[in-house]
Amino acid sequence: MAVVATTTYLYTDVNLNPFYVQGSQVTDRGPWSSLTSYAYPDVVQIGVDQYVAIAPNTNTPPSGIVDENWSALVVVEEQSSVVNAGSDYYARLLATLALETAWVGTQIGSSAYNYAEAAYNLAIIGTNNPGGFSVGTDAYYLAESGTNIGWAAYLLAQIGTNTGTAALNAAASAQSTANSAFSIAVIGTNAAANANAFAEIAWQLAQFGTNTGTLALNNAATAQSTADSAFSIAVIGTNAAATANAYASIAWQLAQFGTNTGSTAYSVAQSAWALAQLGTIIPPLSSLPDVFIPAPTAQQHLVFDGSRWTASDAMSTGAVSAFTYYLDVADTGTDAYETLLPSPAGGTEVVEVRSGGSGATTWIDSYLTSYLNRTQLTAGIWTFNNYIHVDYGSNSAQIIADAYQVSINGTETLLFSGTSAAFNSTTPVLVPILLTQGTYPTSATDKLGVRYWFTTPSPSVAIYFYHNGTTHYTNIQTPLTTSHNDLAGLQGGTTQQFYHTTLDQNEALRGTVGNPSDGNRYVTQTDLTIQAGSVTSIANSAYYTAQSGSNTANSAFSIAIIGTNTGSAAYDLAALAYALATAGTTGQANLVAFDAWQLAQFGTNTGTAAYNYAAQAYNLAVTGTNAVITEQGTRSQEDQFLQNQISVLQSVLGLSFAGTVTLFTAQVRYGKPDTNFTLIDGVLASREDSKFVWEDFDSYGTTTGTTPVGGMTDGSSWNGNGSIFTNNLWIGVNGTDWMNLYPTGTITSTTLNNGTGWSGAGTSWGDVYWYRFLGTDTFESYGTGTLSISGTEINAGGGWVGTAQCYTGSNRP
Amino acid sequence: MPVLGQRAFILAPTTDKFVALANEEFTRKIDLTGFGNGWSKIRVALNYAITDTGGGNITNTELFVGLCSGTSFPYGSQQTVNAVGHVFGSQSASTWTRNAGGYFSGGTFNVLRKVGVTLPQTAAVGAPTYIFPSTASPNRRGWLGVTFAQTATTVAVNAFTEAAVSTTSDVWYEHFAYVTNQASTPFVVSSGSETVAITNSNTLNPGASWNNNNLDTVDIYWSNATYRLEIYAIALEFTN
Repeated sequence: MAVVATTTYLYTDVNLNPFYVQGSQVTDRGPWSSLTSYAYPDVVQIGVDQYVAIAPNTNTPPSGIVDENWSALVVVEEQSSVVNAGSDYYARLLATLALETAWVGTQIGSSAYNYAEAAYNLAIIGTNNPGGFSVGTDAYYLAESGTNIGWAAYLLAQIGTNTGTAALNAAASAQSTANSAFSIAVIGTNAAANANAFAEIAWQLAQFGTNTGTLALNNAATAQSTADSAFSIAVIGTNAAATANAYASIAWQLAQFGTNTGSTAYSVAQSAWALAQLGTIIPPLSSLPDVFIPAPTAQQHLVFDGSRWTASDAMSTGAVSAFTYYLDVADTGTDAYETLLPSPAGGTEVVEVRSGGSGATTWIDSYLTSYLNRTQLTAGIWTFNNYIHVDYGSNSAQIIADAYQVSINGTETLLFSGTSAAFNSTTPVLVPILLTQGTYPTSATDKLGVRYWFTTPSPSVAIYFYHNGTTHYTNIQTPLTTSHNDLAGLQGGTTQQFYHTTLDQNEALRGTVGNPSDGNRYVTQTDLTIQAGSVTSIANSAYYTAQSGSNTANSAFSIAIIGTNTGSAAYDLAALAYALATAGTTGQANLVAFDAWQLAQFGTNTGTAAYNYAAQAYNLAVTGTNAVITEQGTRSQEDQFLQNQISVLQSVLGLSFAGTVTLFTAQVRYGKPDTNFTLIDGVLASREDSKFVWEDFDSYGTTTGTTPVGGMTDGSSWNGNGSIFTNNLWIGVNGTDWMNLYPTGTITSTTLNNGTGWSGAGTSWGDVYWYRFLGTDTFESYGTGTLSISGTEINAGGGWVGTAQCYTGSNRP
Repeated sequence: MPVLGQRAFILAPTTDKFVALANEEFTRKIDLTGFGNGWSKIRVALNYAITDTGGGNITNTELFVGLCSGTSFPYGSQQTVNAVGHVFGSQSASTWTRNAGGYFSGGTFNVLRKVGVTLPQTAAVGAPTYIFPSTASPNRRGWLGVTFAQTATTVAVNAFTEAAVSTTSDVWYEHFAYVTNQASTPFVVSSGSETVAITNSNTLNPGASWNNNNLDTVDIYWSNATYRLEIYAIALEFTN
């Protein structure tokens, strides 16, 4: 609804002080916009409501009936509509009547006064002229009549005044009631706004709580779903594992059957091989035409003599690459043998002390090697390096070394024996035994044993036999060359476990000889027996089946583990979801929701209370409005009485109460008593400012002190605001002198000797020393910052030519 | 280059701007229109303060307050046309003692005239203990004046600073104008009383034609690059 220029409006400040304004005095800015800046007297429209800006603002919409920026603008009364009803109307009307009655009374009184004055004059004339007494008497009566009339007018005026006062009070009461209703409405509206804010917060909290619960529920559902899936997977995995286990069991049984069958087949194959070997008859070597071996002896070799093969002893081998065994005190665990090692064991020197008598062969000690791992003891020189001595130089002894072949089952076979020369040293000496021996066949699992003895011609002797340590380490130098398995740097396996294969085995393993055949016994033969082939096939099938089953079982096991883990995770998630759900039901979320609910309840209650207040305010306002309407329709007794009085007065005086009245008021804020208002039917039609400049300071606070006061903004007809300055200079008025105390003419040093506050006569100067201030600059008119090289920013002040020139230490010319 | 800054004070103007010199020189030509160059006396007065060291002394620093001829070749130039002034301190051997209460004092001073790179006339100036205010809290501004009285053959230079007793008070504009406008030896307003300024002077005798290159420009040079000379106002008193 647009602002109507001829309509009077009402608005308030934040203290609810009412202000009336004509529509022509405000600026209608249309609907409120966040992009527009507003200031008084801008008026905006929001729906059917109008608001006037009471302070400059931007993007700050009205928040209520009145706030620090906006006030609701309400229609007071439209000038064009004549309202001839209601207590206000009657109050105005009555006041007008009272005024006019008073005016008439005054006029009548004035006339009465004139009449009385004339009567008085006539009375004087009558008094001075006895003949005129009657006239005076008449005049007296006339005066008395006039006085009575004046009294009647006075009474009428008093009645009118009282009536007007009553009307004014009634209007004030109505205004007060309306103000109260308005204030209550404002309070109610603000309370409703606050309640609405609380309710909104509560709603948000409730929404947050609901969302949190929903989220927890969703998480629980997701966890449940995950757990279900995991459970399904676990069931599948378990079933698969069970199936795999069954297959594996079958496969194991098949494999066992296959293995047994294969084992049987192997035995059969061994037998078949033996039979095949027996089936191949090789002629004796001696029957060959190019061989001549009429009496071969053991350990002899075939030697080609240029025309035929003959038997001959094997060539001995040098000791350079031979084995040397060292006696070690460590027990072998075989009989009473200690150890023969291929390398010195070191350690503490050990002395074996034995006693013997004449003619006896006394055992000293026995030593045993590990597996010889060879099939022959090569021929050559055996040197037994013995460190030994006797107890007394008068005694002598001989040491004996017996070499045995010790089979794996413990059978000992004497190979050879040697006896040293006699010795009678009482300190350790080397007593060797040198033997030259031929070859001896051995098994790889045979060991070499050496037993030491001694004999003596003396009745009683003690011998001391040394080994270990570093000085007297008894050892045996053999003709044994280092066998293959004793070579250093061999790879694959440990001692006695080297992975050597024959050419056939190697070729069979490498597959270079094709499929297995009878000619290669290291390869599974296919035709040993029919059962063996079947068993092999079955065994292979069983093996592959078992392998497949194992793989399946492994896969099932892995899947089961995954399923179990997934199930565990799902269980944990489910537990977490349950905890969250529980928390959502009885825990923190519930507390938050409960708090939100309480807040919402509080907001609702507050809103309800605010609503009730607003409703009460509304009802009061309606009641007030209805009262006015009711009064208009039914008219109270007082109004009726006043109306009757007015009617009587109108009829008596014959007056018409239409038109314009101009009055003066002394109760206008910041107004001077001479402020002129024009009211038309009780409506402010115009106002004139004070007739002259004035200021009564009543509108200001009571700040005191010496601080300069600025911003005196009230009063009227001033050109700008007022300011007050105090003089807080230290220099006060200390000395005064009025030159009019002295005669005119040239002064001397003692002429100026009057006045107060001086310690002596004044001193005068022949000329004025300081002519004037010439150049000044206080720099206040400049901005801050670094000057340019020229320094030309310094261009203000007085008494200068041009701008300043500044230099630094380096840029000076 | 010099900077324009501002500092808060208790007395008006409570926010006062200044030109700060740090091994820099300020020159500005005086408007002598209507008076010519035959002036008798000119007093150059500064409302100023030196940046507080916080307790230490300032060494090997000079403050030149004087007049020169034109703004192109002032006192600090290698081609000084004609400069006369009072040098407080020295760039080679001087100590500006920082005293309790936050002011500096010193006792090495000279009156001199400079042309080109030479000092044709110099004269020591007794041994007064001049006083220089600092920016120590509470902030305050001080007063310093140098009066030049010239004749056809001589030029007398008379320097003034506050006494130590007045360094506790802020010389604000009213006081600054009051002190500057006093004849002879000024009194500096301080703490409810007036204290006579510390002064000493000497007269140079450069001989005839010494001021053919007229002294028509205010010339202020502060050689210390660390601690600034903050000039809040410049005023010239002039006698025809």
